[in-house]
Amino acid sequence: MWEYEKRLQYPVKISRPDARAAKVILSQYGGPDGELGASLRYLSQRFAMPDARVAGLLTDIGTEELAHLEIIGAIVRQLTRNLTIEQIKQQGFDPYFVDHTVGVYPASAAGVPFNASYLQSKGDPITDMFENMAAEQKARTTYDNILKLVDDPDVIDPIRFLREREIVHFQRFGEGLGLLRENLNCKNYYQYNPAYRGR
Amino acid sequence: MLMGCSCGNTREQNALYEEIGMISFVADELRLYLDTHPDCREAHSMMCEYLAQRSALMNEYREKYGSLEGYEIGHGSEWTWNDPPMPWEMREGGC
Repeated sequence: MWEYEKRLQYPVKISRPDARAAKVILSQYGGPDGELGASLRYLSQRFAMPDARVAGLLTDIGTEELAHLEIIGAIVRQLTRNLTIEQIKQQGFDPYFVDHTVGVYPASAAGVPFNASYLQSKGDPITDMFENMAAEQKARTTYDNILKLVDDPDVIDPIRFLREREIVHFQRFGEGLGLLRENLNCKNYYQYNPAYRGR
Repeated sequence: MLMGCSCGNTREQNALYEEIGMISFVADELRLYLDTHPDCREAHSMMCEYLAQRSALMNEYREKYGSLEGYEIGHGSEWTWNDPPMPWEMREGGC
């Protein structure tokens, strides 16, 4: 189970409304390489992970991703809560506004609703670990792109924190892959799925 | 007490809250490191040290302002769990 702690993992203190920034950052809430997909990916993969250390790593990173989802939600909220109708129209936020007002909804920057096809849980520990390393890199690229599009230091600061976490997670998953490989049967030269031996 | 900002928190409360955030992050980072380096004694002793500090700060916060954790409760007779501000409402000017 999970216990909620009433705090953000990293502080978000944004005073200036910016609908354009909100729209692109929302992609890290419910977009193709966003935090919702990340948390569901790792927390789902755990069940078929035979190595307890890596299953624990998936739990802990998956849990941190939920905290990142909350940080993104906080950023979007603080960027949109004081928008005027004029700003909403001028800054191209009207297509989002008409369906969600200034509520936080899991969708990509282009408005595509969250979809589980953004993630994979393949039931093969080696395959899943490569999926996760790629996912962390894709999320890092997305944060790099966001940093090219925003200029408010109050927005840049938590985005840089989240970008840094993608790099650390990539590193930890790489080590997790190493742990899995160490424990492979030496006859399993081609690294076939070590988690399922059904015939 | 001096009011720190419009959210109603005092500066002292916000400082303690921020300190909890920082020390918790050290634990978040060490936890992931220990997941893939379970035999690292140095990381293990750092984790023990930081968690002890964190526990003291959490106790202090709970006694003064109410709990940040669902399985803990503040000292008063009132239900403070849902007292504002919510974490995503923190803002500039003291918070």
